[in-house]
Amino acid sequence: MNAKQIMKDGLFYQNPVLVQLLGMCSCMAVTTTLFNGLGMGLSVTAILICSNVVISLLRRLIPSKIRIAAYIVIIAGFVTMVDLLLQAFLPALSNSLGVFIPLIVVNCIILGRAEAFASKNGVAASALDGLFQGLGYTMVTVVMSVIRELLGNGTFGAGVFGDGIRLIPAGYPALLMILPFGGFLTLGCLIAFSQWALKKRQEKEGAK
Amino acid sequence: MNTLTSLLSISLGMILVENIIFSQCLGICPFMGVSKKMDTAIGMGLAVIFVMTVASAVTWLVNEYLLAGLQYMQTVAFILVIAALVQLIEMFLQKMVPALYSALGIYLPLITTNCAVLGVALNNVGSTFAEAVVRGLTGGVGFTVAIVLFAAVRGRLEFAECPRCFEGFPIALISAGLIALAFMGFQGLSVFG
Amino acid sequence: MTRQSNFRYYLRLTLTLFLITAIVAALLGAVNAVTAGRIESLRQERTQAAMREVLAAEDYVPAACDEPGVQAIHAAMRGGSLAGYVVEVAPAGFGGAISMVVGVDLAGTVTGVSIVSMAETSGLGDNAKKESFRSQFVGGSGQLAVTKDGGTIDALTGATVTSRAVTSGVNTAIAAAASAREAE
Repeated sequence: MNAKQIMKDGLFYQNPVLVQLLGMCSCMAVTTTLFNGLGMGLSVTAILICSNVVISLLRRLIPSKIRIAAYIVIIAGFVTMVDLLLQAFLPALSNSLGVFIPLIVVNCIILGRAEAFASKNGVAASALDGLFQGLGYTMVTVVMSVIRELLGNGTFGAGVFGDGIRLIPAGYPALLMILPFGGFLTLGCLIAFSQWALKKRQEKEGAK
Repeated sequence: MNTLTSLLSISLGMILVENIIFSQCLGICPFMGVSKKMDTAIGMGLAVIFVMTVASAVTWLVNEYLLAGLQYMQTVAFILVIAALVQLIEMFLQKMVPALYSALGIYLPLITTNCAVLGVALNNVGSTFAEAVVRGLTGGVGFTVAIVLFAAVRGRLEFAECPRCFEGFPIALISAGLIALAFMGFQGLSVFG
Repeated sequence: MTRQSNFRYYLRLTLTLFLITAIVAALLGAVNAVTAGRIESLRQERTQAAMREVLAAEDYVPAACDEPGVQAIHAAMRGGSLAGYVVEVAPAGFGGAISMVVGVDLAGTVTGVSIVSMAETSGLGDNAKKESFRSQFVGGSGQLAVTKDGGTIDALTGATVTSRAVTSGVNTAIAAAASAREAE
């Protein structure tokens, strides 16, 4: 497996959210401030790396009939560990992400990568795949939360830099962007952009 | 607030005001995935109602009687219960109600990874048994309402013209957002206090 | 497949799954043992800070209460005499229970409201933590309600559910303090 290819796939060509259309729930629900978006992205990345490594290690030991159940238990284990560690050492993040931390268990990205990649590839490749798929997801949550926070709340980086840097005076921002509607709209536009960019690239390669 | 009004207000909330899809952003994947056709949308909706109600009841019992003092095992136990339930329901339907099984068949396994089911189960912690069951049932109804409404819209989207890069998934997401906006109108609703 | 090998196959399935679950459970137990104390002390610290904020006193003595919806009630002692009650309530908000502390003085008037933890939508519901929203409750008594329901509390923009939940929590606390006062 080519490490560079895994990186490019995870971040762009096979981005879990924009191209594979996985893990949209958490992407929309928590991306209201940079702090949340970044925290969620990094938590998912950490869990994804761990679960990919363990599942890749165990891939010959788990009978295929019960593999999904086994994967879910392993993933749930890692999610709970992250949840407990966040509660103990980063209570602010754990408070603001709330129920969405345990819900990482059913984030389709993690089970999807376990099934599509880790169960077929070696440990090192699976770890890299977990890292870059996770970073691809983090990229999307960060971009979404920056856009939504700016348009919906008028600030940048709330939670990371105190109350955030106010870029639009209070009273002007469209609160709507923080509501679910804003999530659907922002994600729709981002996916449209990625479709456009990927098509451009295809045309360019076709022309060569 | 007495029990009946509290149950009614939970129902109203889960179906309209706090709709799982449109205001809690749970279960978006199956919502986007199987809403292309009306009949599959209805099938998925019914399957979710069924699983969510049973799962709410069972996870509540598990949490109350098996997990006392082991709260940190909640997520693991709940997801195992849901996965096992989905499998059991599948086997039961296959044997007993083959007609329903062939109608729901392919959607049942997908429900395991529907985050709405686990989300409702986790939200049920701390409420009474009746509240948990009602929240599961009406949460499923809310999901069905959302997916059926959206399937109707999506049927028309196929023939609508839009910028090329928005074709397919992006425009569907934005339309779903518009429905979410419409659902915000229910926020002022407070019939039962 | 013969009956014998069929049985062994299923046995293997069950054992593998059981083993994985057991290992996961053991690991979680270990992590929990490390973090539980810290989580609990963080929670207590927050609750203590919140109690001091809503009703300053030297000592908080837990009192008995069987009002529905009340997590705990403490009698706030100042200079050896009763100054009021601090009530912990957890009304259901938009994203699960909102854990909050309400101070009520002997006249049944709210002296302060503090949110210990909540999982409401950030940027909307979690504005309930802001002073401007919480201070509306101070001085209130009896049965409070948001303006939409004919009361005096201005609900947070876009977060009616959260506002109603906090209001109902305050009402529960006022009632609990009154019944504790009677029992005294």
